[in-house]
Order: sequence, then structure tokens, then C-alpha cells
Amino acid sequence: MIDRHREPPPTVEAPMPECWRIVGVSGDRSCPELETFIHCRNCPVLAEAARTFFDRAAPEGYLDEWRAILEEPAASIDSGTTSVLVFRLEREWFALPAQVLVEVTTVRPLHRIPHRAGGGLAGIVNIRGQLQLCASLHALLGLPGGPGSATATADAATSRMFVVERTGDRGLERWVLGADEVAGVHRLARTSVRAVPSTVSHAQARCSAALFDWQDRTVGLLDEARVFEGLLGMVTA
Amino acid sequence: MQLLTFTVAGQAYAVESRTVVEVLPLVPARPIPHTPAYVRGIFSYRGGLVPLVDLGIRLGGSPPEPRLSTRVIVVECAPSGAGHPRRLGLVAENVIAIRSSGDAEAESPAWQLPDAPFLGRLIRLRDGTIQLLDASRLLPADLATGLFPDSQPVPVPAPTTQP
Repeated sequence: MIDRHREPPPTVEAPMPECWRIVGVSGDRSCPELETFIHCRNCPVLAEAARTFFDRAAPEGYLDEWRAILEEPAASIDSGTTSVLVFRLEREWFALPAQVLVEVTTVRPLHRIPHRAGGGLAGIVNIRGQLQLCASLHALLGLPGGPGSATATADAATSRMFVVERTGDRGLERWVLGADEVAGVHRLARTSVRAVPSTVSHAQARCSAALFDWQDRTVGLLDEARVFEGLLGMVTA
Repeated sequence: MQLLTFTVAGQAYAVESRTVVEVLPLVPARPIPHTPAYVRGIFSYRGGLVPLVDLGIRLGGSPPEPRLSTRVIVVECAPSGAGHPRRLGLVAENVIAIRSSGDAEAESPAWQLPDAPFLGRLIRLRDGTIQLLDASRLLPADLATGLFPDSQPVPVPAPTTQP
């Protein structure tokens, strides 16, 4: 609360010449200091003027206006939509929530690990100088192909790798996954998703959370928790 | 580390900018009776109620001048040990700059003053020395417990079993 009995703060003395409007970037740019500071915002004269400006008392009604603003509850960021990364494995389209996505990159050379060639662990990939485990989402979902497989060359032009991570019970889990095509991140209304029909094969149903239609295609929205658990279980098996 | 700097009683202080939620104008607060003078009161903040601590009185003795640059720094301070994060408003003067501690020429180790546990280490920059404040220790433990009731789970009395 502002103490009303206190003396008002000292008023600002003679207003400073607004040189930035006359010879500065908002004026004719003839100020010799511009050689040094390039822009008025780097100049100590402007910084001093800003300091003087803020030494004033608050204008009438300003604080009450702010009190009214702050009494409003914070705007909810949940607008009923969710962002998903849409990608293709073989002939089927899938999606993962964009929260787990770190980056999408071109296909990097895959270093196979001796004696671990089969199964879900495709190998090790260099991503920005760090070696990351690359797992086969194809194998997890019971599809042929996958990163490093012979059939992957047919889609070489559209193939991508993408990095997903989450912080779960076991700490940070980070995987590099291969897709035969990545269609980007798309916004999706929560009301447009529908349940997975019971006819979907077992391996995919285990990881799928829902289905939605996207550009005349039916896309399976994967449950990120089950995908992360599945990848870990597949690789450590 | 980025530091939000301000002055209290003519001396430069700072809080770590990663603890800062928002910087507001000096909004009016509702006084609370029977609290120390440095608790200005409670103000309504985006759907919640946040206590407002006057750093001028807490550190120096006199309340700050009501200028535009005298502002409220809303900080998120985790209480020592487990508990809900708390928000606290700090009133300070000259809240107009952010400095980087990477420019520091020297740093003192953290201070351990019994009467002022919130005073942190001193950082000497080229144009002056600033002292870090730990906002989570600004309020004494009993006062913090009183002002943040949700930080202590209310025990539900166990139903008495009839013999």
C-alpha cells in the first residue's frame, strides 16, 4: 500500500532533449556517436533518459488499472488442441505427441552394434556430436523394414530420423527413431480423435491411443508412455 | 547466471532471474494485521493471493519511494525441504536491469549470518558490488508457515473407533 502521508517523489528536472528523435535513429541519424553505438539503444544517453523516466511517480490510475489486470485469473493455455508429429512407417501413418519430440533430422549413418543386430536396437547414431541409441519403431509395431534395413532404401528420399525424449521413472530416456516419411507437426482438435477399433493388430493396438483423420488418411496416434516402455523392453530383452 | 538487480537503501542487490516469475508495477496490497512491518500485505495475483514483502524495511529500514522504477518482483521460491512452491512479491527500487554474473570480477562465498539467512554471496562487478538474496529465506519459518497455509498438509483427524 502506498503511504499517502509521505512526500511525493521528486519531480524530474528540466526534460532531457530527446536527441534520439533529432539526430538519432528516429531523426536524421547525424549524431557522431552512432559510429560507436550503431543504434541509440546502445547509447548511455538513452539509458540515462530511461532511468530518469522511471524515476517518476506512477501516473494517476495506473496502479489501479494493474490491480484490475492482476485480479483476472491467468489465461488457460489448454485450448482443446494438441500438437502431434505425423510420420509414415511403410504404408501406415502414425503420430506421436509433439511434447516428446526433440528434433527431426536427415538419416544419419547407423553404426550397428555387434551381436545386437537383430531385435529392436538398430544401432548407434551420431546426433550433434552425441551418440544416441537408435531403436526400430517398425519392429515395435510389428512392421517390416526399419532403420538400416534393406527395404529402407526404397524410401531413401523421404526417410528421416527423429529424436524423442522424456523424463520418466528411470530418468531421461532418449531415442533416435527412423521413419519412412515425416509430414511435420500438426495441430489436432482433441474432439477429432476416436477410439482404436478392436480389429487393429495386437502389436499396434498396444501402442495406439487413438485414431484421427488427417488429409484423407487415417493416422494412428501412439501413446508415448507405451512407446517408451515398449522400446526399452524391446531393446533390453 | 542472470541476475535481476535492484537497490534497497542505496545498496545494490539481486535475485537469480530463473526464480523470477514476473515483474509488476507497485500494485496496492491488502495489509494483514499482526504481521511484521516488512509484510506489506497480500495482493491478488492472477487467480491467487501472494504475500508482498517490502525489502526496504526488511533490509534497510525505510520503505522505498513510490516511483515507476519501484516494482514488485514476483519470485517462485521453493521452501527448504519438500513442499509446494511458493510465490512471493518483493518490493524494491530501481528494478530496471538484468546483469550476468559471468562479468563478475570476484565473488565472496555465501554468507551465514544468523539474523539474516537470506543474504547470499557478494558479487563484484566492474561498476559496483551486488549481493544475492535468497527469497525463500526472507520470511522466518513460522511466518512462512502462516502465510502459506498449503505448504503444510492439514492433518485429517483419524475416525475414532468405537469399542
